[in-house]
Amino acid sequence: MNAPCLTFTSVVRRYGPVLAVNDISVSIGGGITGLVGPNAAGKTTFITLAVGLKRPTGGQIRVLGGDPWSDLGVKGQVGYCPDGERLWDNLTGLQFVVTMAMLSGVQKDQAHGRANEILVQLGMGDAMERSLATYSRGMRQKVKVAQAVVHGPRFLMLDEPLNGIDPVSRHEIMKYLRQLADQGTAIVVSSHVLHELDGFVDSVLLLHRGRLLASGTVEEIRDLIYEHPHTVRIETPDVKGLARWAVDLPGVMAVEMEDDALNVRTRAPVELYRTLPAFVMGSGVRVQSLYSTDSSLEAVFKYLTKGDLR
Amino acid sequence: MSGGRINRDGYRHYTGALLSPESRFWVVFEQQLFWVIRNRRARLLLLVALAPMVVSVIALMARMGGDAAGFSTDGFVEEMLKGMLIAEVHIGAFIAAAAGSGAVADERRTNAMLLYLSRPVCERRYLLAKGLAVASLLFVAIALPGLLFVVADIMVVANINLAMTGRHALGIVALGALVGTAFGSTVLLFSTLAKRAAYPALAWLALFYFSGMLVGMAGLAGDLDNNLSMLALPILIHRLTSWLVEGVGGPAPLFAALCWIALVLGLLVWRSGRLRKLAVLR
Repeated sequence: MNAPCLTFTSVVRRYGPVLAVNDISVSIGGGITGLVGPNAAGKTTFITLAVGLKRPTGGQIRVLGGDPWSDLGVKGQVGYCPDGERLWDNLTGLQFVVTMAMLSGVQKDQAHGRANEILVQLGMGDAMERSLATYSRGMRQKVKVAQAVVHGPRFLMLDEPLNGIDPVSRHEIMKYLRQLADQGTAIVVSSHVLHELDGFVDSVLLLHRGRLLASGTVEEIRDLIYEHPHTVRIETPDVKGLARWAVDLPGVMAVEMEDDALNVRTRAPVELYRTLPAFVMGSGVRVQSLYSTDSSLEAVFKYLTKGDLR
Repeated sequence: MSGGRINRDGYRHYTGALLSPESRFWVVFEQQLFWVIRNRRARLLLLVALAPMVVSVIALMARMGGDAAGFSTDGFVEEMLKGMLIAEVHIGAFIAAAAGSGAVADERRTNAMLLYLSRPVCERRYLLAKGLAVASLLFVAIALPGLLFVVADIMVVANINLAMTGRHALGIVALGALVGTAFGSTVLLFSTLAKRAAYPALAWLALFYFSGMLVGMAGLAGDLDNNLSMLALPILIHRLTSWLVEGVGGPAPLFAALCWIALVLGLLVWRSGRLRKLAVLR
């Protein structure tokens, strides 16, 4: 049986005069979907609507064919990892995950085994008997992911699960979620940093001011980013040599020299990234660092909304 | 965005038997009880709740030593038991503040409530399970020392009146259940109104003690026969204890306590409908 896991049809959610979700219609199927947007874009509201913690002001939401607000059966098949770090600090990681499994309906004897297995898979084998109060931020995120998946949900909603954690924990969580997705669990992950989800999600929904601004694969979104003018900053002791090379590149709109850095404004950043290594190797010019000053999500939104950012 | 589909191969959904909704109620109950027992302040108050019983038993034994020398124990046990139970109830007010004030408020503040409400647990069961956990603890804090006193009474006093002792035991159990339910549900109701445990705790203690002051200021406290005096919670407790333990007065305090419990439970059920609205605010 094939069906979308989550369907929003003209969904609106108001908080008084504030429109947190504004007429969103979207259908999400399998794989990992990134829900991306700046702060106050409506990501958390989108997720809380999908897990039935909020009721839409207008429109219709269907999760696995049911209404998440009123159908407790749907909730049993959905996993949810909320934002925020504080949990029940009086419990150990294992006790916490077992409790959450039982609240989802898993029998006590099986809950213990499943919790144990998932925490080990997430690299928490040594720490699971410790109190949650002693956990680092990364460990807390892992435990929150574990409680969301312990009952083997069909659909998983994770609110900023990678926020502020170390690269190792991030890698472990992403690897685990990828395994789950490959085994058939549909996953939605929110983030306000697009590159955080690069190489991890299969598709992306861009939210801004409660509206669905764009959707597509990561490649499509990345192309969207690269279509708008970019400023690339290259730190080098040989500013003039590099500037002479940069002005001849296709798509370059402006070159600005500083004492030890060059800012290149270009419509074709990919071309710059592609040709720079060969130039450096051939000319012997030393490049200390290279980064885009506006490839962040904010810049994309600014571009897509024609600068109409709050 | 509708290209993806659920792939059911290798699916890891839990396929075992599901716990019934009632069982999930007990999971919330157990979790709340565990939280309270791990709370240092609540543990300390539970120990303090034993103090009136210890003092009363020592006094009873001392009195029995005097009785052997010709003193009477008539009415002494009832007076002592009543005084002890009223002291227990006052300590119970503080236990309720420590055990119940954070039950919902803390979970709202830390977002932990989202974890409950995103599960297949209905809000009403969630609140009632928490209320029952706090009420059970209060029942133990009030009834256990009372029953231990009754046991000591049986062991120490010669020619004991078993019918009277049985009445005492029943009165203690009823008082523990009524006070536990009333206090537990009221503090829980206050807890649904705040995001920090301190506020419902202070509001509850203010209600408990200021109601006595206000009734006193209205000139009703001196007239214990006036049912309006039971608007003061300490007076209501005093009259309820007198009726349950000594058989003094009519059943009016029982009706008053039951009305109070019904009102608060009704308000809790009403609040449960708003829990999801409260849960997501950060």
